[in-house]
Amino acid sequence: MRISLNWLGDFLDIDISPGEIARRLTLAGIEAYAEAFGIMACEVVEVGDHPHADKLKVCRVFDGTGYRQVVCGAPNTRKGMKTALVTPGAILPGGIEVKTAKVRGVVSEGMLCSEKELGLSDEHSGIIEFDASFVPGGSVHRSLKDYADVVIELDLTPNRPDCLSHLGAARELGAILGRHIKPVSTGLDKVLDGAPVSGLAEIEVKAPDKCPRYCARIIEGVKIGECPGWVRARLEAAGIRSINNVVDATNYVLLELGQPLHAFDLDRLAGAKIIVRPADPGESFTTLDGITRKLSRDDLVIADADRPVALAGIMGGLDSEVTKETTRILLESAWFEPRSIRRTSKRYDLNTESSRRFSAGVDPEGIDRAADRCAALISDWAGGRVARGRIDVYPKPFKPIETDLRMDRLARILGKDIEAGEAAAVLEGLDFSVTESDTNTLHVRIPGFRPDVEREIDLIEEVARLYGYNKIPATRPVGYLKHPEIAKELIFERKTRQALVAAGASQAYNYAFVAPDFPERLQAPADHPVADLVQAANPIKVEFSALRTTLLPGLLYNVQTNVNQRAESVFLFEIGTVFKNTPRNDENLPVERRVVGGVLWGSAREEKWFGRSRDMDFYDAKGAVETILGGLKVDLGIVTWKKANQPWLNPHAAASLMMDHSVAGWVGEILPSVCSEFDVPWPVFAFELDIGIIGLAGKETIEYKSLPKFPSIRRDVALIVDEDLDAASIIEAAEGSGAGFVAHLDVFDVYKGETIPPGKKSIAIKIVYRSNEGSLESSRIDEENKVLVQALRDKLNAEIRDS
Amino acid sequence: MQDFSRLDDLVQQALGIIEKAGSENELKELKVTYLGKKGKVTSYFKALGSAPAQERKALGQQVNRARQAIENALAVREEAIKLDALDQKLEARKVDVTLPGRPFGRGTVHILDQVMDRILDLFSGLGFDVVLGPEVETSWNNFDALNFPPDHPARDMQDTVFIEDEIVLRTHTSPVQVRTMKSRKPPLRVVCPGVVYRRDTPDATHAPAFFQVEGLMVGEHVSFAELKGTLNLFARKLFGEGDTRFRPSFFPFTEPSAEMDVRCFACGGEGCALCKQSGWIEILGCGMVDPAVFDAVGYDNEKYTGWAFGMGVERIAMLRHAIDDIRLFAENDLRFLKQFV
Ligand SMILES: [Zn+2]
Repeated sequence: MRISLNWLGDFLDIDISPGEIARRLTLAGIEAYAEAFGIMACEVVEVGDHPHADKLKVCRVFDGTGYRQVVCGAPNTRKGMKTALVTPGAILPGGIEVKTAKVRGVVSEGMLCSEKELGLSDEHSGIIEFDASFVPGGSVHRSLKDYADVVIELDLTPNRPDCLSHLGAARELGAILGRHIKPVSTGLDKVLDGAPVSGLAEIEVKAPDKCPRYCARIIEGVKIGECPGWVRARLEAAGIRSINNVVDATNYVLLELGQPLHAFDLDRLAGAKIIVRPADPGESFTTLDGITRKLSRDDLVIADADRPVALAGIMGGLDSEVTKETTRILLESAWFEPRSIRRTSKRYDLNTESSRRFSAGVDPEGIDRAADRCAALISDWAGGRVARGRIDVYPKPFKPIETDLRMDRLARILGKDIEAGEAAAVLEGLDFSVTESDTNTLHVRIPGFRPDVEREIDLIEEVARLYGYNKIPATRPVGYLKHPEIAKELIFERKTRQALVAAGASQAYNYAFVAPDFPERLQAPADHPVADLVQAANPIKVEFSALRTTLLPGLLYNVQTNVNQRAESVFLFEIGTVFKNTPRNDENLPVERRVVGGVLWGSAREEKWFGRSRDMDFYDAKGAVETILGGLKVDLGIVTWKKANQPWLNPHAAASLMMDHSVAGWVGEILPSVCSEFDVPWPVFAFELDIGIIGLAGKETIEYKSLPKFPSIRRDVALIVDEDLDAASIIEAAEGSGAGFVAHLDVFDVYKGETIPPGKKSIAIKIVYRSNEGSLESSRIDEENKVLVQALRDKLNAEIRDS
Repeated sequence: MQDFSRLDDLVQQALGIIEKAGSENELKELKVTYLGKKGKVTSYFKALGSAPAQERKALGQQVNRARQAIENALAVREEAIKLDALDQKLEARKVDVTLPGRPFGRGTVHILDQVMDRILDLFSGLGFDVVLGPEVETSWNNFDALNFPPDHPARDMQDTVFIEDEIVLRTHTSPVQVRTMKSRKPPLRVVCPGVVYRRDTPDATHAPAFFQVEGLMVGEHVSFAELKGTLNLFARKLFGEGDTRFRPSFFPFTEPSAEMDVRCFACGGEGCALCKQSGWIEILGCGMVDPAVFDAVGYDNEKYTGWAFGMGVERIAMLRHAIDDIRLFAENDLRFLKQFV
């Protein structure tokens, strides 16, 4: 809401600077900024060269409220001069609106003017030079004195529709400054000379729930034309362009009192009749913006005897609009039910000054006053006679809310005692009436213009914010000691993160939004779990219209980003939520899982002065997974790896991580076709694990195992086996060989090549023998090793290589 | 027969040769040559027997001195050779101290997690539990229970992505507070971290998803004064000792509501571009829990009072690290991520 300081002066004597007004409002909860507006004197405090144009100067000027940068080409521009400034949003006498603009690349917040540009004379050789008596922010000429103004911009929260008017802002500022505002005078008594209103028109309200009050005045014999200059200046300051004297009068009252009004051309209302009713099913209506809309039964319309003439509280229609020929006005001032207006306004995405106020709640006690005020202004600006009396259909009279405020309750909420008398003074300053009081309780009547205040807690807030939050002490809670409980999922995630970062991975975060075609791009069939998407009903755009079922797409995009930036390697991980649409849980919500995903691409080690790089491969990705398992204290003995068949993975280089017969994740090489679909170079390796499953499998505490008391002896065995025989089978066979004292087994070499027959591979295992009873003789171990070797030969059809 | 008058010459000659010896082996050979069983000096010992008796003692001393001198020279030389050898061995391992060290390849925790951890640690240090909740929520938990009535303008404050009629992507982590209150009785001290969603098109200051931390304290004597005291502790630890201020604001689920500002740390309060000339920087929203919220979760709102706060983690990270575009957090460019080691 833009508040004109000149206008505010109609209601309140102000003796503090605009900046101070803004600061005081802000500290009372109405965020405010002050800025000079209109046409005013200013002082040029600095003049600099324009970087791209020789003839232009970049000036810093003081406008009475603040400093701004203005680009000017006048030859007489110089530091220290006083001249005329027109701010953005103001309209030059010729009808051109000044805007914030870039002049040859430099921002200019307004323009410095010649006398001709201001319509003062034909002088145009340079900008005006004022003598020392002109004050920055002050008027430049008698004829333009209403145009020197300051706008206080209010950044309102939705609970304060009362401040959507100059009267409301003045009331708020008055309460802050501790002074009363001047009473509103409608000025109607001076112009009330028309015919009696009865018989001129008829009003019927068929939907009293949605329209508890409909009030009208009629003005006859008006002449449509322009409104006075000072009115135009005020409307411009508030951000509304002048249209004609009648429409301007309705807008003026809207901005002054906060009550939206609508002026109908009475002669264009069929049957001189207004009917407030729900729209008929299938009915359509063309609003002032020229758009024809099919209406819903839930919409409230204002109709004449034949057809709708306005979408109630939102916008009028083309058919009944005031035109140059209009002479008889029916002026509507009504109260519409906020939720109904809000629903219709949302349904048609139609936000107007009027709908904004009705949907937040206008003052039900100010309806008739606004009608009177506007009728008087129309009569004043457009001539005409105001018919005597109002047509006032008021089926559901407004009942103000009355509430008690207990001072002990206030003290308990705020942690600060405030005297009943002080609280009463604060509330009365805001035009609340305190009807009864004792030392602990105030009985308060809440005025109609504050729909946000209903309960005791609302009154406590009113008292607190005007008393001043910063006068309430800052104390510390005193309470029971206790250790915080940290969600165990978060602890798992922190351990996972720590393990991966130590292994060299960097953490990524992607939005959970994905395009719904990503399962196809991963080559997943429609019945694959990753294709079971949760979809948004109102997405921002199609790329953000589904929720990810795996972290892989985001991470593949991250590889692309980094490859485009010439990264030599990418090792990223993400910890995040994945979603699955079905089955729903008992709250009908989709299933969410926390997972960790990773991608690896490029060189495993950067090429440095000390050594060559090596390309990442499957085992780097698997190593990352094992690092996570280690970080979560998972015993590798309870984990098994099986070949996996995820659609996006190379079937010959893909594994599933199995825990207790359930799949806890996958790791593998992404298919070349999937890489090209995501525009990343092949090969990329990736993994994804369910942190919940793995975290829960981890040990909470590790029990110490006593250190071996006796030395171990190592034997190495090299076998030649079928190429497809996996390492796990060899280890399993060795473990089950029957050889005694085997403490540990490990594969330490795998070799395929010239000396090995085709279809075979050489695999070397290390066997560590140890006894807990005593030192083992080498000869004894040789015997055991023979048993083991024989078992490998028999079970695996292995040939033993001599080393 | 040895000529004792030539012994001194022999010694001088020996010392000269020992001085030039280049290895320990050479020294061993020289020792044999002079002091061995058939050594040149040893032969003088043997000759002492045939020397005249009255000279024998003096000659004996002379030969002893000669042996001593050679032994000393051998020992000195041996030490020198060992030192030379060590020098050579060390020199062979000479490095260029200006070449970079071999990295161990540490990755980086995302800056948002670093900031989030810091915030959570500060509150858990004050005894706040850390609780989590789902990202896809019922509108009841996200709005109704938090005193956002249907068709109320307050719902416009948070543009919402809907999944179905009554299911939304949570617009704040407050529904986690609702869930916590529904499942636990006061007293309560919790913080809820997590991703929240808004129907915003990404630009330099808006993201369709971002992180929030919200906190809640409920008890029988919890007041606005304590809210101020606790949040002052937090803000001063996070942003450094400095003034704070509380401004009235509006949130449907708190009343009285406030926004908390800290003194601008870029200009110290003088006014600059960061603080839009105000000298203050807004860091979080807070307030006393609205009694309607207690009604919704079944707490006695006469018996219990509470306060809550919420802050955007991206905003805090941007302020602390002078990051000027919120989209950088989700771009995952390693050149950005790796700056926050
Ligand atoms: Zn600053």
